[in-house]
Amino acid sequence: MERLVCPPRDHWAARLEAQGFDYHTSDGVPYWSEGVCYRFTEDEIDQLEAATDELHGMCLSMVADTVASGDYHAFSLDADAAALVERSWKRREPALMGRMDLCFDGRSAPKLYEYNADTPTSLLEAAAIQWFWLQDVYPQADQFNSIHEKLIAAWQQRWHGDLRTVHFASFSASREDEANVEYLRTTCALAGHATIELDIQDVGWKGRQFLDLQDQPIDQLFKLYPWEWMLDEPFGQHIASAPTEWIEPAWKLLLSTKALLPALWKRHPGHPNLLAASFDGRLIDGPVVAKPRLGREGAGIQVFPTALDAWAERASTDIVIQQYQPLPSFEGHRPVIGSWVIGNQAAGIGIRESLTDITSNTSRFVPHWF
Amino acid sequence: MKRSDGVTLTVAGVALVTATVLAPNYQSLERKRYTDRRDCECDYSAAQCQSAGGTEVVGPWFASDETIRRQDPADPGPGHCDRHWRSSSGYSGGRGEHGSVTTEPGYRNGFGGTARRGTPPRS
Repeated sequence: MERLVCPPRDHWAARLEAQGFDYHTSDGVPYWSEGVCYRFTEDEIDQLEAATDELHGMCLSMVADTVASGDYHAFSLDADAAALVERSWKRREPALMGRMDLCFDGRSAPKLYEYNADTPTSLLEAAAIQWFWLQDVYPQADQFNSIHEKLIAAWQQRWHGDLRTVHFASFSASREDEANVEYLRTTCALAGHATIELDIQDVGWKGRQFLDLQDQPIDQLFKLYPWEWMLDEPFGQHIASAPTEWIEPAWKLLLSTKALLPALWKRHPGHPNLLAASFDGRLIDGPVVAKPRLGREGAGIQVFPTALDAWAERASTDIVIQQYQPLPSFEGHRPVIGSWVIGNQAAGIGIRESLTDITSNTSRFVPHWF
Repeated sequence: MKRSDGVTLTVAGVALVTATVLAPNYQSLERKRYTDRRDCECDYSAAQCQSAGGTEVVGPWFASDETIRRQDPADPGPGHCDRHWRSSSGYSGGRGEHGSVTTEPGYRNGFGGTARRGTPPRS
């Protein structure tokens, strides 16, 4: 794995915009890194793929066992949320996608930082924009990226060939979120389904079902909106009784929380793709990271010299403590691997790098090849 | 096989069925549920009265807030018979002689509150 300087394309900004990626620069700060890239060996890509598949399999086993036991204490779910999780799992509602954030330097085994299993973004740039980049810059090379095809296949298989009308809802004040949903909607349309987009705020409830702005029933809804928020908001009370199929399914509530990390570590202590994690940190030696259970985009993440320090300052049932594993540094640039799972398969990676140890919404997307 | 077979779309150029329209400023909606179609058709046109299972019929949704209704000419309102229903002389419109009428609530803006407070929903 190495970070390379590569030739910037002529008129690259215009190219990105023509591809629907019009937020490549935000407030004058580039989000897309043109002119640099990461190169992997095929063996490194195999490691990332295998680790992602294994971790996802471990997650599914954990969900199955949690539902079987009915013990949701570690996940802080109330009875209503737990019932939704159980119902969606027992109905075998399929997952569409998720993105694991992995630490990887090409030398040690990939380590799971967290699993963005409910509302992952950076999809457009990972699936399509870096692929177009590869065609322009290294057309003879390969890229770990079959996200696009796997998404279309997942939509095609979802209802066993039956064509549906799928609604797509996001909070449209965010251009990035909108673009991610537009792209995903495109893959759904390419699979043959009818698609309708609306703001999550425009979802209506009229007695027995959720409706769109045309007062048509929402039978299938992809929502780029976290489950835990939906359950806390006024319409959350209607979710259980509504006939809507939600994408992602409610069982993702068990994976999209940092409470997943101690749960996995407890089941697989010492696993090479996991970092030690617990709710109180007592069994973790050395520096640790305190993470909010439901934090997003790096918010609220803090590094402490020891678990005792973390517990002294951040003691809370809403905190998960994880062994500190610094991101690798490539001349000061610190990449995190976003490894995509589509359906139940590893499908490709997108890399975001930052200049600090915590990847946040100010990180930059960097394309890759091998 | 790691390689994508090829991203064949032009992301910004795929024609999609778009049904995104401006939302009316409805916060709270309601509609009436009737046990007799004649009561509904007293309030609304026959086309606005939809079967709701068995003999029940529902009218169209309208804004609960009268101020909002006045601003939206397309809002069907609570029904023409209401004038008679609520007149001082009693049930002069004829509705109520056939069956019961209940009101059921509906809303928009029931999702989105957390994001409106400024937290990004993405991860």
